[in-house]
Amino acid sequence: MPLTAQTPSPHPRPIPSLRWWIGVLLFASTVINYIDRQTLSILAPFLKQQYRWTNSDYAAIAIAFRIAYSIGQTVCGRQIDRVGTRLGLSISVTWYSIVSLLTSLANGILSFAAFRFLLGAGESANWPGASKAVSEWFPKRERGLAAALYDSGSSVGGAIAPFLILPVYLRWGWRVAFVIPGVLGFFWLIAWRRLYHLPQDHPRISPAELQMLLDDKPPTESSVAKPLPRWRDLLRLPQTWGTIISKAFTDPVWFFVTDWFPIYLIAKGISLKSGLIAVWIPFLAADLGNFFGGGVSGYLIRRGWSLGAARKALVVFGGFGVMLLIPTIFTVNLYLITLLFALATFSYASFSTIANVLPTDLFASEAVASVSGMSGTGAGIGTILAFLLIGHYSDARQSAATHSFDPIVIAAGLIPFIGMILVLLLVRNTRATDRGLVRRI
Amino acid sequence: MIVRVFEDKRSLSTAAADQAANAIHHAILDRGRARIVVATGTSQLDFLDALVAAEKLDWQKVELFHLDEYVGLPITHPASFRKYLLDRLIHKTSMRHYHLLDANAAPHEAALHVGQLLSSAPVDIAFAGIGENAHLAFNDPPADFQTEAPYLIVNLDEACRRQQVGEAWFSDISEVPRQAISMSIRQILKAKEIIAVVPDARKALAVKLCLEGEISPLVPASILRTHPATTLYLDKQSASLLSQSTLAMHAAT
Repeated sequence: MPLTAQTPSPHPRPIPSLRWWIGVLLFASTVINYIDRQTLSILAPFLKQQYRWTNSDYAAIAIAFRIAYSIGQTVCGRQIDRVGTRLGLSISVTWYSIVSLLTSLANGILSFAAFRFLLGAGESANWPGASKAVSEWFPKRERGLAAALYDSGSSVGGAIAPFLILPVYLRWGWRVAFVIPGVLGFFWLIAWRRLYHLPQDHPRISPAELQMLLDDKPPTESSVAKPLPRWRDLLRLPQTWGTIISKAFTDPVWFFVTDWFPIYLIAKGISLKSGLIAVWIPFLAADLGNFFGGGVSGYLIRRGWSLGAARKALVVFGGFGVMLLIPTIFTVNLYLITLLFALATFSYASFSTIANVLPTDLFASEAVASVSGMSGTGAGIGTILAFLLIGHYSDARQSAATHSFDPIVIAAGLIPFIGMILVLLLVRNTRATDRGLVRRI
Repeated sequence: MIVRVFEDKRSLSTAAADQAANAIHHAILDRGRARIVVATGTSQLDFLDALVAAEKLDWQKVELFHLDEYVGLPITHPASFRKYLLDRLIHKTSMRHYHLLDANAAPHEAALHVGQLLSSAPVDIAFAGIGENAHLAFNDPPADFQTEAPYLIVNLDEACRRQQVGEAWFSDISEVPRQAISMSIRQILKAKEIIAVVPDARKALAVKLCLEGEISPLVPASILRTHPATTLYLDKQSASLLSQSTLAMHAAT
């Protein structure tokens, strides 16, 4: 579209497809979110040495983040509903960017744990905030894609982080390394404040896009809320337990990769600088696994598979695939370890995609949030237990050198497999399905 | 592993002693005492001198073990590591808790007895050297990476025994004992922190193999790469064969 002259006007020129710019902004916030949190795990081997932390000490710091993050996801979601997306995400990003800056003042295990706790609390608002933004700005048919876009920011952030953080650390030290992601957050904030408004308030939305969004809104939301199902009734259903297990038996493995991988590489005798490839490839593999999991189960459904069969096919794929972690105990070859971890995180991610949709598949809308919440809590508890065990056993086995993580890696490979078996046993059509308590799959 | 390279042996020794004193000081602050493992040999002389000179270390709260000792060598022999430690460290400080390996009379009993004391609590800091044949303590290649016993009776290989003559501890290779008590590899790796002091050009090849080769029992000290808190102190000479990328890879800030 050729423009002849830039004339000042009371109505700024509309931005075509504005919603996708907002999608990009949400993607960027997830990227920054992950860079912030990955800074610690990348620097962990160095900080451990400088502060004489054992792996159990490091576990305590990582757990401080997980606790705040798990609680925060529930709390922050409600707060964002109250204050709105624009202000809600502004506060969240400001909060965790300041915390990241402040982390550069940390001086020991207690201050690190405190800053990580605050970081986890702030970062937990990102996902509820982003999904709310998507619901405000995207028509139903595009929401899946928009969610996939911002969600993939986590893999991209995890993959970028080592390249950004490590050179800064090696040149200026770890304190400066915590400043970088903090500063990134403020750049994002400027863009967010300029670009994000509700569609109906946005000065630069095109009339066509606004009309499209208004047309997509349901005429009136049903004001008669159905009664919330009781926890007790939900917990009596095997499908509820299957859903909880599908997340609680897989998430800890992912967080082992995100939080412990650099420390694990050191035990394998691989220095972090030479091992960068192993730090970013599993993140990208997980991203592909997400799309693979969603894509293949959709394809199978179109091919006429039942919903349950299509989901379980991916669960079986994931359960077996994550076992590829186990052969890494026999090698110290960087490329082989990277390949096996990448295949395992790819498989994990396809399993985990199914774990995330199981609540919607199985439960009526008034129960979905409760069951998702329970599986989130289950995953949080599972991860905290896993971290305590990882810290303890890797310390106790330090003298086993390249083999010090063997029992941990074997467990990480087997637990999703056990989860797979339990999901297959528990998530089936039962009498409760016939009575309409659970959806048929 | 962090690798630090210094202009010469003197600056290397001062820096290593600084880190060692700091680690001992922290252990005493945190736990009321410091349990240390000390290495011996020519490469450790300047480092131990610098450590003895360190200020405000409460040596009375330090408990000392050592890495190794020859079998069948009396404490009066100039090459005895017990004599070395008494002369250069123990008698120069106020240290009261030390466990020397008496491998002259009954080496197996000494290994067992001191081993029990050693494994009764965690070790805070271990000092180590690296041999010309890349040995760690007296674990000559191929080293045993599996044994859990704190101390072993080992056979010394010829390269190792020749090094001792080269360092002028013995006048002839026939005088160098054929066996020694050595701390096991696994026991060394149990230390929370390891400070490896490796000066001199004659160590350059061993250093290169340790850092750039495979981790293998054939290069015993290569196992240090798997330890979460090892600092390797080199001088220009011992680092001379390392590639720039190896140095960058293990650089500290």
